[in-house]
Amino acid sequence: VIYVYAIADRDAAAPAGPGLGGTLVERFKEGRLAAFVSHDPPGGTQPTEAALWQHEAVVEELMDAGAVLPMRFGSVVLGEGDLRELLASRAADFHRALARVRGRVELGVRALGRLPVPEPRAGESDGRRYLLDKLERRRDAAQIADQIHPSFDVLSVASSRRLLPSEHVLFAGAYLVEREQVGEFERRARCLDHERADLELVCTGPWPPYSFAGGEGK
Amino acid sequence: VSAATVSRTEGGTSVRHRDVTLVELVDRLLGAGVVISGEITLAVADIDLVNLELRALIASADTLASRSP
Repeated sequence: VIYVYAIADRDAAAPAGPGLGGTLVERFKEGRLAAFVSHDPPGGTQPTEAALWQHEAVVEELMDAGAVLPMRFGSVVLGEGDLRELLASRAADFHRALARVRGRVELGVRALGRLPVPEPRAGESDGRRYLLDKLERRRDAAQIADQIHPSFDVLSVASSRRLLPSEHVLFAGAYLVEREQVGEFERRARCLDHERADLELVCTGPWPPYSFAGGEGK
Repeated sequence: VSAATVSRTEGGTSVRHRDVTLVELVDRLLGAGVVISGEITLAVADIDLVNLELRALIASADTLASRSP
């Protein structure tokens, strides 16, 4: 199989660093696009922590050199014919997405904290209580997201947010940001983190634009 | 990726921040990015994903609890 890391401009340089399982990362050109691939990575595409970081390292090297569309981890095609077909059939989408992410990076914000423990509800059935509590948690998380998300949203050209991705994460936001804005974004994250005693805000990145490589966003 | 912002809590921060970074990595690589439709994409080990989230979040819950007045 051919493992695909990312799609970029035709003339983007192939990363010098190794790919999955120490394989060579090669450039495969089609039209005005190129895919960056490895042939038959040993160990397959098991999503171990090391393999995820290896995929990430390849994409980051491409990101440092220009616009890049990262593939989801584990994306493979059976042969060069399929790869050519992928690049040709979705060329318009890929060009549009490349234009959108050019000069920009993705930053992540996670708000960690605990929601207030719901008041005991006398006389409610267990099932009903569970649903009401769940609804209340969602409402509380949305309220916090409404307080935090706009501060970062205004610094971004596109964004997406998720409520309660896991128990103690109230919301997780992804932001597509001009490279020059990264410093300001980080400063804002630090300020807000200091202001909010009830929350912990963790900002990560810059990431390749995983969350904005397709069609989603604002 | 570099750790952009570090949480204000003292002690154990670097470990925790690394955990959050790992969760963010997993989120992106397994939950976002360009998808090849109709081709073999790996059967993602959802369990791994859940475990990673749990690990980072247990750590965060502990930190917050120790900070409460």
